Amino acid sequence: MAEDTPLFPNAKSMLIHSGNIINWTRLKRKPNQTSTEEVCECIGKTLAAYLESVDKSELQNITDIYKVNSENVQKLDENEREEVKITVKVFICAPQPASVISDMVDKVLCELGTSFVDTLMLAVAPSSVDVDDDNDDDSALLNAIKSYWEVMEQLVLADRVLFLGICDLTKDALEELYNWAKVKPCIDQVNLESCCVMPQDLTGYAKSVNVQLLTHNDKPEFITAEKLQETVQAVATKADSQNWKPQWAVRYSGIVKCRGIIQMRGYIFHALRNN
Amino acid sequence: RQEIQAELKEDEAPLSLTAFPRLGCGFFTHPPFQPDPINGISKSLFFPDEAINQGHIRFKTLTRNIRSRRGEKVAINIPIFKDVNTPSPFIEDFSHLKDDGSSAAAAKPDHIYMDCMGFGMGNCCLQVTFQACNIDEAKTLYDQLAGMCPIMLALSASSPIYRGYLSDIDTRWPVISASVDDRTEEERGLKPLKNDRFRIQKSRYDSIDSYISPLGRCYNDIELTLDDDLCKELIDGGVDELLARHIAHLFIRDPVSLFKEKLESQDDETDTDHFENIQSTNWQTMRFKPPPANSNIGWRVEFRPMEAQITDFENAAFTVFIVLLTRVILSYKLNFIIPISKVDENMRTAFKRDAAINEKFYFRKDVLTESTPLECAQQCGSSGGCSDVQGEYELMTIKEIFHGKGDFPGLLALINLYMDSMEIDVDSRCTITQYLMLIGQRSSGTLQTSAKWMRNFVLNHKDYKQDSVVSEPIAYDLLKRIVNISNGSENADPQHLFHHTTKSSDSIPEALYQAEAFLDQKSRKTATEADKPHQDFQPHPSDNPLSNGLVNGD
Repeated sequence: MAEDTPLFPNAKSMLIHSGNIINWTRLKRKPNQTSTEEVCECIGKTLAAYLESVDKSELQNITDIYKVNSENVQKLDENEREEVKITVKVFICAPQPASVISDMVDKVLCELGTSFVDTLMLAVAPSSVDVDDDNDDDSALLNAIKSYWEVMEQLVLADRVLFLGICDLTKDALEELYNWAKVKPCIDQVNLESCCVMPQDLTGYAKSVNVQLLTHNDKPEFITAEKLQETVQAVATKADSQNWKPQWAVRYSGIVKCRGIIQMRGYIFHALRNN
Repeated sequence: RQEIQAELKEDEAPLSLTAFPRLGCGFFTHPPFQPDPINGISKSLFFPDEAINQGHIRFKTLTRNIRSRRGEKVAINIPIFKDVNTPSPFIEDFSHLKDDGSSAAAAKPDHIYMDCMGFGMGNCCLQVTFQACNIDEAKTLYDQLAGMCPIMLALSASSPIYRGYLSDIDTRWPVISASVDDRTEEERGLKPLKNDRFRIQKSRYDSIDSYISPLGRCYNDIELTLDDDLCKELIDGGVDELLARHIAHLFIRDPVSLFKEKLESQDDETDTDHFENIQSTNWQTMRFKPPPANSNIGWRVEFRPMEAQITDFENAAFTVFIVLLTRVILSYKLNFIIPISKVDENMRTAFKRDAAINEKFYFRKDVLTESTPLECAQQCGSSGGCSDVQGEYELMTIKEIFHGKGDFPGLLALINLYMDSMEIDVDSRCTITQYLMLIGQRSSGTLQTSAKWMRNFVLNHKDYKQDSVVSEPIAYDLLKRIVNISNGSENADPQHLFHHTTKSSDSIPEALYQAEAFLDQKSRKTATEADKPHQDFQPHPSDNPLSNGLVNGD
């Protein structure tokens, strides 16, 4: 496989929609995965389906890989919209123009057939933050967050999002964001490893400003370039896998309120390659 | 527990014990009372009428009616634990207890003999009731949880001692099943049917006999004794066949408790009392509960097999585990159904001594359904016959069921996956993590079941004479230890229970509560597009309790 001719040598971008993966039957998945493995499996399977569906010679010329697993896509029933809580978590994997947040949310709204989502969470991978000599890591991260946050605030004002949340902030960073923001964060999501050993300054501060401390189980580097390339190589060729860099991923989940039942879970993923 | 303790005297304690170890031994009540085998209600050699709950006439009534319907005292025979000094055969002499010979005849050698309802119904257990969103979800939960009954019974085992003897079982199930067995000799198959209508296989307290959801139809391989007329009446009335058969099977039983006031003109548009009479005196591993008249409580399903543990933490852990399992089953559309006869076999395995570590249970190999429930149901429902189900299940240990085997991830992994998708606050997550750690360690054998811990306490007690006898001093020390563990004044034995620091409180964090309330309100408005887009940065102060900073002028 390694020496095979590449299937899509000219592809420079990929945009993948997994659709609703909650039903095992549709996407036969291994249940023991981390969310990183989960998104990689989605990417792999969707890419494989894409490669099946496009003519080989056409593939050679393709510059943008775009595949939606339409048979999995599940729109929200209008009549049941208010019974479902939709949470969207955005993973920034590489430096992005802040406007991508708006694009991502639009894609989710379009896929689910709704005009708003309940919560929008922002997770910025440390590797995605440009650190220059002036700033330290922490303030660079916070500056990056603030640029995305401004776009997120617009979404709230436009009623496309109801609540905003942030991930993995220390007390000081959370406080700075909270004081600065026009639309305050309602949630700070922390890794569940720390749920029994939460720093008291963080819990105390969160309580004082009514910020919910919720748990997540996502890696800080949600999907690395290595993992992406491994995934691509497994369904295509080594040449096809080279130089791909994850840009962002968004995960949406729909929970039936009051019953605690997960109705949907899906990913949209974007990567770029510059040869 | 604290509230009850506040009402009690200093030398009294509320215990969440499944079985009182010296129930029926000498003067086991306070104040002491003498059993009355000749004129009493139960005619028990060991259990005085005064020990029957005086709070409601129902308990005495049931005790008397069960005995009189059966035509003799109930006969509970539980295998005794044979230790080196235990008499072999183990046969007790009841002559000094005013036995008229019937108990001597009913007691089996090498068994602990008990003779009335109180020995079973005087035990306690952990029951969890779920509300379902509609009848289909209720049927699904009923069927899916049925197979978990023997497994949770074995894991929660906490009652190895009966009438002052160490038994060879770890759970109350066979005791309580026999304690309310009102079947006549004809019904039990000891005499040919003459006066009674049916030959009945089980006591009215036992495991369920049929599945009621479409997915379960092909797995009902026990012959169901049922009232055919009633079944036909239900089907003619629009009830589906599976449910009609289920109810007609419940109704082969006579009422054993009836109140004169309830007999007169019941309006069944507003009163479901007569249905509840039979429904509530079929005591099974699962109970399917239709909503009573004039109530919006909805369809409910009751999970009834688990044994009570000695601490609140353990009871919470078992409860939360099974609740989470139902959410996992419904979210991922899992299927645990195996032939109902295999579930019964599992029940007979579950109450054995050390079943949780030594025994294997039939369990479905692939719980992630091949086809969607709808497709599978159609397959099962359309053709008259069902495809071969033999290859769908295999024997697994408790450890494998919870921790995984081969491609099967294990129940705990499935629950963790579910929790990662939910938005859980840190304190709740911390608490649930500890609950699941308990379940994980009990199921892997790292920690002993409560039954094993109690058994070992007796076996290692300085007064124990290796004769299976749990004397008063031994029982006292055991209960004293349980009191101190359950009120937190002593640590539990580390082989039984680890030190825990749960963050449970009476209410969810304030931030969550406010957020949920606001979300409900806002999403309803936005969903119906009643709101206009905001014109500026300042929402109305009444709208969002969370953006105080905004209103205060940014």
